[in-house]
Amino acid sequence: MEPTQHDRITRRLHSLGDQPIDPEVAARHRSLMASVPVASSRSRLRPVMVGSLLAGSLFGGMGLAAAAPGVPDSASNVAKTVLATVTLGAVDHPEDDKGDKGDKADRADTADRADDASEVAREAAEKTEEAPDGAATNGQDDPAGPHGVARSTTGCPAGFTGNHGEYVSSIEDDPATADVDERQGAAQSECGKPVHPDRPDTPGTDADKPADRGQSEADHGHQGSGKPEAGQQRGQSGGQHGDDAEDEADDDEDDDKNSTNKARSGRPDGAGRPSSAGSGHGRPAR
Amino acid sequence: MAAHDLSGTAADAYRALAPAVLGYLRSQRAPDPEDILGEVFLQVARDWGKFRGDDVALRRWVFSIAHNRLLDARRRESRRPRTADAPLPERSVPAPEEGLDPELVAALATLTPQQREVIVLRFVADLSLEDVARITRRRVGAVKAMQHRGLEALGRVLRPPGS
Repeated sequence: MEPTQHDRITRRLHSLGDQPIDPEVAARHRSLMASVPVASSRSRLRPVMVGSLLAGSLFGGMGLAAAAPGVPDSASNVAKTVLATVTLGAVDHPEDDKGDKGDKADRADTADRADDASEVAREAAEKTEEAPDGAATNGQDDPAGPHGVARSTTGCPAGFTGNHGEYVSSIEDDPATADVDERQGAAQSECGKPVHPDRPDTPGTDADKPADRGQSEADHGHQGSGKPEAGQQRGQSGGQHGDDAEDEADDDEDDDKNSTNKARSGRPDGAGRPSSAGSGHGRPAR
Repeated sequence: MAAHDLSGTAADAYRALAPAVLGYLRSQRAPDPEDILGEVFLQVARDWGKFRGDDVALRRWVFSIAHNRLLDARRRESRRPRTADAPLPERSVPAPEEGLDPELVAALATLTPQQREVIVLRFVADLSLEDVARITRRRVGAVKAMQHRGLEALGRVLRPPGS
């Protein structure tokens, strides 16, 4: 395009920008503009400043309430709980003795920290509930390991110290009493069963429902018939089942299909444990 | 919030820029260009306290608002229900001939919408390539290419008789 034509076109285009405005329309526009309230940059900052002041005074007041010696315990505990939820490192918390509190305080994400704090608190509450004396009941933390659990001797022959499976397999069916199944009776007895099943992943127990778990223990323990069919089958399979369970324990390490219980407990050692409350059925003593 | 004193502020901006904004709207064949002009300067008056910058920035800001208001108006227009058997309502859009260079407006109508947008912002609104790129959210190179093609097309349409 030659420059003269380009100049001519741009000049004509520029002239489009000189549109006369009807004075009446212009007056209407100006009156509208005059009636409009102006949003200044200062007014935009005002809500931010007010919010910051409120948040600062709230957390500052809570910090003082948590630290002040004259404040009643209940108020101080509430403040501590709230501040612990947002993980302010200056507040003492029962979970501090686990040693991971400092690491959590360093994390940047407040939401994650709050989740972690509540998780730790929940775990601590479960531990306290399961072991009021403070003894570790988790198989990993227990020096005796999962096989060191106390077992019932009710109904056992004198001196018997094995688990329930060993007890059941030691009972022979007496041909003289054909109408009585001695092995079935042994399977339903309490002998060798753990006194306090510490696994929340056993069927019929629910870690999230302590009351239900108590009922379940009553079913298994006192009545001895919480799962009669399972008990009979395991009892009849006897000691062979112990070896199978041992093998399954190894297989289950890599096998996720089995594992409602495993997934629920999240502990690798749980894979080797039979999943019923009468958990001693197939496990050989070590 | 207080009523804004227009003396020496948004009123001056209106006086200086309203003709160019109206020309921009008309050459883009905006529906109700004078109403859109009012909306544009209403927002200018409302946000005047937040604006910081020189005359160039003011021009860019005002035409950014105009550009967005034009898009809104076109969107509203496209959503308006149309009846097939009733006569079409009379549009308040002025005919291109009203106060405009009719030949130039007709030539602008032959451009693609993107070329027309760039040409009008560049020469009617008198914005720089960078400002046009910022308002239309394109790269400067793309704006330059569109401007070149648009001017060539206009030159073909507006060729003087006998050339």
